Amino acid sequence: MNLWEYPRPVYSINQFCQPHCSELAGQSFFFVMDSGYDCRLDITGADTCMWSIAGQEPQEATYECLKGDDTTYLLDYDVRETLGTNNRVNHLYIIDMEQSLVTRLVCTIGCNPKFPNLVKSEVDFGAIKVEGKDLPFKRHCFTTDLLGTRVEWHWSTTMWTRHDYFSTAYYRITWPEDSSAAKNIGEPFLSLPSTDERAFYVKIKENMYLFCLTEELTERLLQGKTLFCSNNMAFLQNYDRMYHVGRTFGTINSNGNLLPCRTLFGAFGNPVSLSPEFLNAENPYTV
Amino acid sequence: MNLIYDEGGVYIRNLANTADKHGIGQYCFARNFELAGSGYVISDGSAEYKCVFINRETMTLNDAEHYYECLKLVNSTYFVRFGTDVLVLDLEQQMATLILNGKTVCGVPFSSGFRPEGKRHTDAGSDMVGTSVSWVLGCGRFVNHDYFTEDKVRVGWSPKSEETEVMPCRAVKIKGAVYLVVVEGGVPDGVCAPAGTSRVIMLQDYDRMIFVGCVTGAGFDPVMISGYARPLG
Repeated sequence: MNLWEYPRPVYSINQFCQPHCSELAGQSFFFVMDSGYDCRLDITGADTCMWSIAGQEPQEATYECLKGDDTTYLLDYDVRETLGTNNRVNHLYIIDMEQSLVTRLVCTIGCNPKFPNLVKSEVDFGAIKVEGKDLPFKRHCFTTDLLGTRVEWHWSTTMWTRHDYFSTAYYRITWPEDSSAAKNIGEPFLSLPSTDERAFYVKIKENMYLFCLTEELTERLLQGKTLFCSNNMAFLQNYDRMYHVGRTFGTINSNGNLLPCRTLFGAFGNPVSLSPEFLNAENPYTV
Repeated sequence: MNLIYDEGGVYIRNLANTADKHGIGQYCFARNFELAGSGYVISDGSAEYKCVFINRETMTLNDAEHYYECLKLVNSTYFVRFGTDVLVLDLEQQMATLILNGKTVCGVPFSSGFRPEGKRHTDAGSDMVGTSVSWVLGCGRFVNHDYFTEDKVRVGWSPKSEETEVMPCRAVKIKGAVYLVVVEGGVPDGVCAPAGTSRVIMLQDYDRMIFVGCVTGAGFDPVMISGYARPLG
């Protein structure tokens, strides 16, 4: 048989996802955060952890972990007490063991009274306390490094998309006609003035960045009419190797039923040329 | 830094690049360290291989010390290269396959005094016959595989992928859609694989259509590889 035809499940952006990494099991971290809300994270098992913020009672969670390189981890979990509510919370950490630095992303659903599915993202930078070592002064930081980058990401055997990082607060997406993205995610954009979306960019180290987008403009304009309702997507991008790993957190609209959406993903990249019309189009969401 | 001129003559950055310095190792996943500190005896019924992962980079096989690199393909399934030899450790099914000096040994790993009479990975037989796939290892770097018999594969490396050669190959079914494939033989001049390549070992997942593996040969250090599949032709 041609194994290309193997009867696999339907994959979306998760087909090329790298496997979950459990090598942090048994380790404990104390993150000293710039916000003042320090955090303790004990990795108690292959997919279980205990976390506490600012000395509060530790809480158990089920985590997922992917690696951006040998020493950089993307680890996230949903706050268990918020599961099954309309106010789900997800904590995501970029744990940078090489530099003893950490970035924490707290994503919360249900903060906006008009748009209850919107995901609010809050970033906090900090350092990992290491016994016998001074805390580093430097931090992961917001960056303009990615501005000008145009990249094609291969998510699965049928889907590839093209990103243009043209602003520190937005990104722009397109896809070629032979990509399944045209069929699977393209339709809502036909009703929108552009594919621009809210985003921010954090430098982790040379050639490694956290790119984070939230499908906020889509949700504001097409509330309830799209498959994905304001997902937050966090990409740990490795431009040394040209791949990324990441996770989504948000809500999926399944025939009118709003269900939690949390997916790990990964993709392989390559440089791409994009048309001047696409690159030079105005961002209709800004003055 | 990859810089390009915009229309106004101003340099703008573009971090997207073809990572040529990594060659066919470009898309290689980060190393996995989950095995560090663990040890197994692998038995095929006639011989035992004592394998100890001392730390993240050093292991012993029957007390001989090796530098090793480990890549994880799917949960609890690891591809370990030490020297030019390979161990596929499938902890989900408690099975292991060693490729030692080119010989394939399918056995059962155990870590305590209990010696299980477990099942083993088996030869893939005709499972792969008829499979045609292009494995992408990096930007513009790929290898085409056309498995047209149980023990022969037609191979074409970029950028001369149309210049195919028939190579001996053997495959072991690891589980589900996961196969361990060993392709023996050299590569033509001017392709993306290193000159001197003599063996390519890949752990291929036809469900997710990704792979991990290594390329070994004379005159270069073994290269760890990963990547994704696209249809051939």
